[in-house]
Amino acid sequence: MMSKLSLGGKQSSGKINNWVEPSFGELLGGVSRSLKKGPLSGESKTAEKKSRKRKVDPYVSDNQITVSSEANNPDQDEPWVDIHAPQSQAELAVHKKKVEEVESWLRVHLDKSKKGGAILLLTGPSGCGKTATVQVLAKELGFQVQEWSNPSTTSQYKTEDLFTQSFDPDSRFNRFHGSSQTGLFQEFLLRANKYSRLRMSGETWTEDRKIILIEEFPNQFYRQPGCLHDILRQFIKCGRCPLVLIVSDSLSGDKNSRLLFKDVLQELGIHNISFNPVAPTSMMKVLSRIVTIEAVKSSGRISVPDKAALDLLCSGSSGDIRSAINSLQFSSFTDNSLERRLWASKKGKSSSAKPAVKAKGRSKSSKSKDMQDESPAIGGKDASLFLFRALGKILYCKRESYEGTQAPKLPPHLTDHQRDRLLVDPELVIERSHMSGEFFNLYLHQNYPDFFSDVEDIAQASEYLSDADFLTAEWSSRSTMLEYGSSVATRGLMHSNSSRAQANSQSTAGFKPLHKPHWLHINKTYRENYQTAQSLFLSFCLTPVSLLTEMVPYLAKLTNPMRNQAQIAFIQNFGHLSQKRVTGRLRLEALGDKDPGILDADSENEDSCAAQSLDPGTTQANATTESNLPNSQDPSGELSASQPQPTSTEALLDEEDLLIEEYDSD
Amino acid sequence: MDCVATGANVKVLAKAIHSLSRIGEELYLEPVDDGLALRSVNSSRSAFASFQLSPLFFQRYQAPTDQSFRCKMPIKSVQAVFKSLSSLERSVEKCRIQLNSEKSRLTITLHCKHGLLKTHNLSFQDCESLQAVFDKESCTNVLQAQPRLMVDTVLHFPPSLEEVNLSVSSDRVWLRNHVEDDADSSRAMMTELCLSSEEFDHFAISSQTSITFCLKELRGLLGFAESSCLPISMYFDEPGSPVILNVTDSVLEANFVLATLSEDSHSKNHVNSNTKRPDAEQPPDDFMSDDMDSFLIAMETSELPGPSHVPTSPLQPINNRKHSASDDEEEEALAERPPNKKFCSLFFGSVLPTPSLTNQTIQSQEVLASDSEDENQTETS
Repeated sequence: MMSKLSLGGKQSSGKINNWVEPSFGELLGGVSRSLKKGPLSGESKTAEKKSRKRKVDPYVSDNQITVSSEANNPDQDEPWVDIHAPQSQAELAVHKKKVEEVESWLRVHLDKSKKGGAILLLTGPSGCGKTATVQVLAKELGFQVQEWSNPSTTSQYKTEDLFTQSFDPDSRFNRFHGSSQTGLFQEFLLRANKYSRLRMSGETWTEDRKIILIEEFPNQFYRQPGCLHDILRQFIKCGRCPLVLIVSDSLSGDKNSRLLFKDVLQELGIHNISFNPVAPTSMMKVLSRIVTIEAVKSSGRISVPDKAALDLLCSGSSGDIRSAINSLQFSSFTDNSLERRLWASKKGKSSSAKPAVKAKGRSKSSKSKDMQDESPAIGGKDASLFLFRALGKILYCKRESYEGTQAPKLPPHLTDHQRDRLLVDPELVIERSHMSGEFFNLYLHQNYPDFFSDVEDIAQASEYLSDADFLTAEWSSRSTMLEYGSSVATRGLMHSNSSRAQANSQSTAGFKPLHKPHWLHINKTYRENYQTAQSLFLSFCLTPVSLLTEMVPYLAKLTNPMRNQAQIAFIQNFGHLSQKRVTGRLRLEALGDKDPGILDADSENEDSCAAQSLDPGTTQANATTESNLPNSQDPSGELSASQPQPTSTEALLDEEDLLIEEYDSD
Repeated sequence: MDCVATGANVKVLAKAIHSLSRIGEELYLEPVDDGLALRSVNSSRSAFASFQLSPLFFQRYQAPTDQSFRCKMPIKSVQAVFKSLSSLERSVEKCRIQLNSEKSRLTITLHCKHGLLKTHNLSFQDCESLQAVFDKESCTNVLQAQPRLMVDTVLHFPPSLEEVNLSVSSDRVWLRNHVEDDADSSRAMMTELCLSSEEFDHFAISSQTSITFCLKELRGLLGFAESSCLPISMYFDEPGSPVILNVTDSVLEANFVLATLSEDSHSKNHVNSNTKRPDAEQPPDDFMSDDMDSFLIAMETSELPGPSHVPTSPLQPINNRKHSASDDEEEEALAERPPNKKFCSLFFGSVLPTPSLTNQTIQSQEVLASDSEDENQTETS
């Protein structure tokens, strides 16, 4: 049974490999192409690095691309990001100052012969040319790049059983030598740091200077960054060559580099250079060069896209040049049967988008709608929106006027609901902001009053926000209703704003600042207070809500002296529920242009549970206030309630007798 | 490609693959007319291993028609085929390796006893040829030893040790663990072994030198050489040049190329020259530790036979040791070295509980007694 299952798995994996290879993998034709042209050393390096890389690395290839009609068929299967990798600084799509900054750092630290390692950290979004810059500088300055790639651990084989059964009793020397990824990484760093590379046959590269390049980190480091910090500290002590770390930013911020290196950047002297997304002008230049080369090479077999299509690719990739080149390669093939089927399927997707547009009840689509529909068809990258822009799209809801005869007619008693057509799709905006709907609603709730000019509109908008909150009240269906709640909130806000009902209506004030939700600050204060209360009053074993709303106010009413100093201070600070209103204006934190809307350390579920637990707390607080009145009227009841507690704490706090005087003074 | 290995050669093939798994993650396979080449290289490109199996190694060998064929595959998947080495020789009668070009599969079939047939289909990936550039004839220093000597030497180092230092002079070899200069010397444990030139089958040292290399890759070769009982040859040059370890048979040749630690600045050479001076003075310390070992063994053996004859003989070594100790203290004025040596000898004495190991130590005692005689002769002359 197991052998049959394993054979089936292998066959299915073989089939998948056969399908994937014509586009990206290496074929026998590719090997023959390498034998026909190009040096063996370059091809061997390319093969080695490709095999170790899990993802397609566009800038590792050392091949010299020569236009040759004989080798058209093998070139067709190579990714263009590998064929057209930049060979010099002029071809890099990176800003000149960034390249000079990296080059100067490498020049300084490659020529120094003193002991002690130097670490350079390159950050930036994916596809902005970080690795390409290092590879091009390695070629121009003349040093080797030794690169770590995570070993592919085949979980199909049980390593424990494998090493146990491989024990050889004849040999006293054979021991179990299984090693984790962290151990392998440490061994690699030791050997790459101190020992020079062996010379392989076919290699003409005899440079003795080198750098260590790390792009993939073992998974253990994301869970425990301390392991990586210890290894880097050891490297700093006895390093002989520079270490370059490349970390790509994630969509919702720079979590990866901050998670790994936020503690040790100053301690280890790590130099950080952050890259920006590729500028559209540079990307247009690169794409035009690639199109020109491929058009000459294919001699008419590839459809040459025009400038409008290239503009569309540039805007769709949002600074990711790898994504742009891959999209260009896919959209340029016309005669290959496999690519034709892929393109036909994409056309099918684009044709299916149009009935959706018709189903929305719109008779005509505008240019922007065409652009939005067309970019997923080419295979463009999902464009992510910063939180500032996402909120702006909802709050400054832009509309366009209908044609004269196309406007839907409303009855006279509903004319106040007359609205022009929306230019923004709110569900798409929330999806691109990479935030949960609830969190997005918090920001909307904080910022929407500034954008309304009528109190009636604000009342209607708050009604919609309350409906959105009510939709997610039932915990069993919250995961399903979250999307509907955010749709109700966003569309309700846009509909309620009567000052923006017409497309040609001019907004009175141009720019309005946005703020972060005050709920975040309140929630943080609440969390700190109940954690303090829990640590101080651990013996009561109460839930946070009961502890803060019942026990602490009740203890404030008592004159029980059996408390330590910290508990007394906490009771005096938080135990008295004052009736005073908080005067003064709330100081709100401004939301900047590039703020990623970082969640706190707590998860979203904890936030929502904590938020919901606040509501019954207020009700219980009122009940507690009412129940306190008969206690004060009945002194015998108060004495009977306080009697068990002194017996439990009297043995532990005999020294607290002196505190009676303090209460008497009060 | 089609090759069939029978009998004990299957185990040799399995041991070769296990040795290569110590080097790197991938196995490079290259069948040519004069045999099958198995190679591996580690991720930092500082260690390379190659096994060349001639057609005589196989019962039947047929090279592929495509001379440029070469492939690589994860070494763990090949290792899974040859697991349970202890029962491999008893159960497997024949091993057949075939190449299926149509399906891109490498088929390894194990013909076991009772008609049992195990078939493994491994997928591979085309690649370029992998071959390190090294020249054994150009190395100035050559050592050849039996694997048992090397294994006994390396066993003294803990498995967690990364680097080992090999120093040679005209008649002696020192093997010690390499500790980084920045490390705290009080925390590190220094282990050093001294081997005389008579221990080696072949000893050709033209210049005194000292090389440092990683021990993990060396253990891979020693495991293979010990099981096959073939002598190990070491070819090395100055620091920075790779060391070549070679195991040769009539049908088999294995080459391990390990990069050595290069010394960049001149100050390190100065430090190295300073460290070489204590090397010349260390033989007397080694004899002290040897005497301590012999004394401990004499104490242990005195319990087994008649006790009336033995107590008289330990008295004389004690007197000799006292005189030699006082002489060494007056001559060298090195207060730190004798305690370390005594501690090492006491430690190794407590480490050896098994009687078989004690017997082996007795054998080593017999060998080392001649060294003490040589020292006495030199002292008298």
